[in-house]
Amino acid sequence: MIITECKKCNKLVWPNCKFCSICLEKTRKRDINNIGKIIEFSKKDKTIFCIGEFEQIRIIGTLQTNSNDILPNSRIKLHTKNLHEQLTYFFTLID
Amino acid sequence: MNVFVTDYSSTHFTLQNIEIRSILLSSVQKLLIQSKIDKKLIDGILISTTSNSKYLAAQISEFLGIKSKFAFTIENLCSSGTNAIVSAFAYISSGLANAIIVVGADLYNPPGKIFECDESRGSYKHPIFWASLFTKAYKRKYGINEYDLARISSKNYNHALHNPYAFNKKTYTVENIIDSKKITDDLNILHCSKLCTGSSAILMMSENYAKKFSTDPVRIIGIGQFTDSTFFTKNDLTSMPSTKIASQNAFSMCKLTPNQIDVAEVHDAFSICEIMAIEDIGFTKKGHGADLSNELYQTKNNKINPRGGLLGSGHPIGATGISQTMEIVQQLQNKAGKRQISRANIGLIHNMSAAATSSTILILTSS
Ligand SMILES: [Zn+2]
Repeated sequence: MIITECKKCNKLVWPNCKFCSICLEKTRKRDINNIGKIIEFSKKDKTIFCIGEFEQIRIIGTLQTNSNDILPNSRIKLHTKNLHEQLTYFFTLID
Repeated sequence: MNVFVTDYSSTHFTLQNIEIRSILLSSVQKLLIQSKIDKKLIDGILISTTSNSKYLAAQISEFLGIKSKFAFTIENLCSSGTNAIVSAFAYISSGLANAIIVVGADLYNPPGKIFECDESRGSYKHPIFWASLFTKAYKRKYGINEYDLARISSKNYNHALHNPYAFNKKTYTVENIIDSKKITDDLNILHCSKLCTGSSAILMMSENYAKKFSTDPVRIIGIGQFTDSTFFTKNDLTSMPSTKIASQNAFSMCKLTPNQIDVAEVHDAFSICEIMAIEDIGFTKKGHGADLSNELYQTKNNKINPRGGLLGSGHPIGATGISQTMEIVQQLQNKAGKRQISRANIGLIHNMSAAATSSTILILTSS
């Protein structure tokens, strides 16, 4: 996943924007560190939806796991897919 | 300059599929007839809606024979209604206008239902997902259970039985709420307010006009608004910072404290929202919202959400903040019938948007 970062103050700006929300300077694009943690989750039918935090960025995605042992702060890896022209996020647990 | 609400009207909240213009006309026509105001005195019409129909305020002005100086639409998702009221307040208090109609409406399937622009929600854009995550996080932090949440829903659906305009017409027990259809692991269908078709309108006036044309005007004495983010995931999951700041600003404006509020309508889009809102407004300490709601439920005290809140009344998005305000005005005028809270003198409205990323608080008084 690509995020934007301020060229001057290095603040992460997400959702992506061409300007920094702190110093208003231009941003550059870079890959996010795709290892993060679970902030919170719930379940709809058999689908676990979850807020994951990667660096300081929080996004809602689907947690793909058969484990019942899920807790906030569990380590996860971020994957993305383009579904129906929309970027969709998936997470997998890291042991 | 002081600003007052003098008159109000509403349509029934239903699942009717009609034109947005038609339902707006219904509530404004009713307001004009009830208030008996000379149309020549109306300076403007502000419309709150998430509808994509254009130039609605000009159309309503023309169809009802009002020559508006100010006529336009205000859109800010679920708090569009109170945002329009704050705008009308600014026009009147600045002296630019003496009388403004604020009317809100939406249909049961409005464009404002899903906030598509929140990229942080990924493919989980429907409000049930943020509400489930709020509920789960709050349960985890403060140890509330399904009975605590169900009592809020039961209370508000039951309050709505005495609201003639409400969508809900049924009594629900705590057990009915718990047994209702599961939407997610943390949300049942009866924990969710229902989008519906409806329109509510109020007439706002300057002090000069209110003295001349109203026998029991209600004054707006406190206003607070705050927008802290657009993207839901940036929020804390167990509190509503925008509500907290908006409340502090509103109380500071009128130099009152939360324990002086006799009656309040709070934005219970989902049951968990009532708990978080009453804490962040300051009616009780953080972590004790469910205790307060439980006490109100047990003692049949309807001071929070007497019209049934969004759960019981339904949620015609653009009309909601205006319908909430209409309820508080009726309460302060001692005209709320079976919903009346005795000796209600000061009332509060809490209206918010998009998982409480922004909030508005209004404080009104009859004295
Ligand atoms: Zn910067």
